[in-house]
Amino acid sequence: MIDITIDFRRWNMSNFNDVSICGNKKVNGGKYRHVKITGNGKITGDTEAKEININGSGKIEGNTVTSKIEINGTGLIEGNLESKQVISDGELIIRGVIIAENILTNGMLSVQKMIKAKKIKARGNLYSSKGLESEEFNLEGAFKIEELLNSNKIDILFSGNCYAKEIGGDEILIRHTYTFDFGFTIGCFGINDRMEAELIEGNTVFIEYTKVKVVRGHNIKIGKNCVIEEVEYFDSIEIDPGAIVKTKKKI
Amino acid sequence: MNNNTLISKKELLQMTGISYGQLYRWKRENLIPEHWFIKKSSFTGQETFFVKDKILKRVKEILDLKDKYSLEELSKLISPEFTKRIFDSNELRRIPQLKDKIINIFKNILHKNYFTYFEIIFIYAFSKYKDYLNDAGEDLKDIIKTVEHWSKIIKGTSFRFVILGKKTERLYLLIHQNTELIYDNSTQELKVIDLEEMLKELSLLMNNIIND
Repeated sequence: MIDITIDFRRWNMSNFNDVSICGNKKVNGGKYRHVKITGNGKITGDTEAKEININGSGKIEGNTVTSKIEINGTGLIEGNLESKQVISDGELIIRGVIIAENILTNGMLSVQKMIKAKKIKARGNLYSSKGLESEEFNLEGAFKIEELLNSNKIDILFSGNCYAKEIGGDEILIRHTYTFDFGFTIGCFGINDRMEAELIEGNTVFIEYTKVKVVRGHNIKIGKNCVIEEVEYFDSIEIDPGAIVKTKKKI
Repeated sequence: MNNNTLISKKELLQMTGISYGQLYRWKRENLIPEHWFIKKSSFTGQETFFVKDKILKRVKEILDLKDKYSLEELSKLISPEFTKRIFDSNELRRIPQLKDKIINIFKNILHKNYFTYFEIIFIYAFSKYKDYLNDAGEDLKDIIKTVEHWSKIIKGTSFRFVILGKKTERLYLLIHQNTELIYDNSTQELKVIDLEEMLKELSLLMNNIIND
């Protein structure tokens, strides 16, 4: 699934230059060894680099291919991003597709098209308007995925209002932070939080605080505060007394 | 594309014994192309359907080959995505199903020794269905040049290659999988070649040769 096209080992690194932007500057895109932006920098055009570092605010106006991109602050990529490692603390906005092996974000990740990765670990906000594909998906915070969230292992600990049109995978675990936060959020905040989806399908499914039309799966557990129109299960089902399930059906 | 009975996703799971997790994994790996998932509204919102014959055949293939190859290899073998590699004409000659004559024609007309996967699919298709082509020079030359052009602008293989005949004229079309074509009375459909099928057959052939 993940196919990072560029093998940087084959590059003769001595042929390429480093770029370092300090302050407020603009450089052209191209092939570089290290790109480092400190302050407010802009790269115009497609960029290939072994490593990209952004501290402050960086903008790349083109497709970006790299083996590691690290952002502290704000990053904006106008095209697609293809990278082995994506590490972002702060805000990362991508107008195209993101293809990566590992994505690790703290803060916000907003992708206008598809997210494809092997492993995603996100804390904070995540948005994708064309869906998400991964092997492992781990999220703490809020999210909105307009199409399909397709991942082998899904582990979500959400707060706030979240939305995914469809969720599919092997192990699906959707929990609400409320259950684990003693003292602070109990009783006052978070009680109205809901995750909404139209369809959830998986081998093992656990959901809570979720409003969903149809849940299908082999082993299903419905936690509290769920509102579900229809559950179809193959093997087993457990429903919390605090959940509303209109119809359930064994296939 | 008439006798396309549809089955729903859960019927498919019941019939084949696979799980939701597997199905979604295969979708991620592109073993089952996106456009095979047909969304239809039902009384509980939407439900996903498949064309029965196609999906059952594909699932059986995946289950049969799954033990021999890893999923990633499998997706290269039967997925509609393109393999990025380019092949040498000498390499191609080792595959007996690709006719030398056709390779030579491609080589002479396109003036190159290397072919993309897309072009090789057509080399294979032309070798297999040689009789349907008009051998008379210009026609073949045109279509081969078109194939080169197509290979640049088209992504994926979810297409059918259709050869139409009207009186003595030949017409070559590339149409998307799910599109239906209706002709006038004097037009005959001479041959329909499914590129995805071709790709699959070809991948298996190539795999045998390259692994030897």
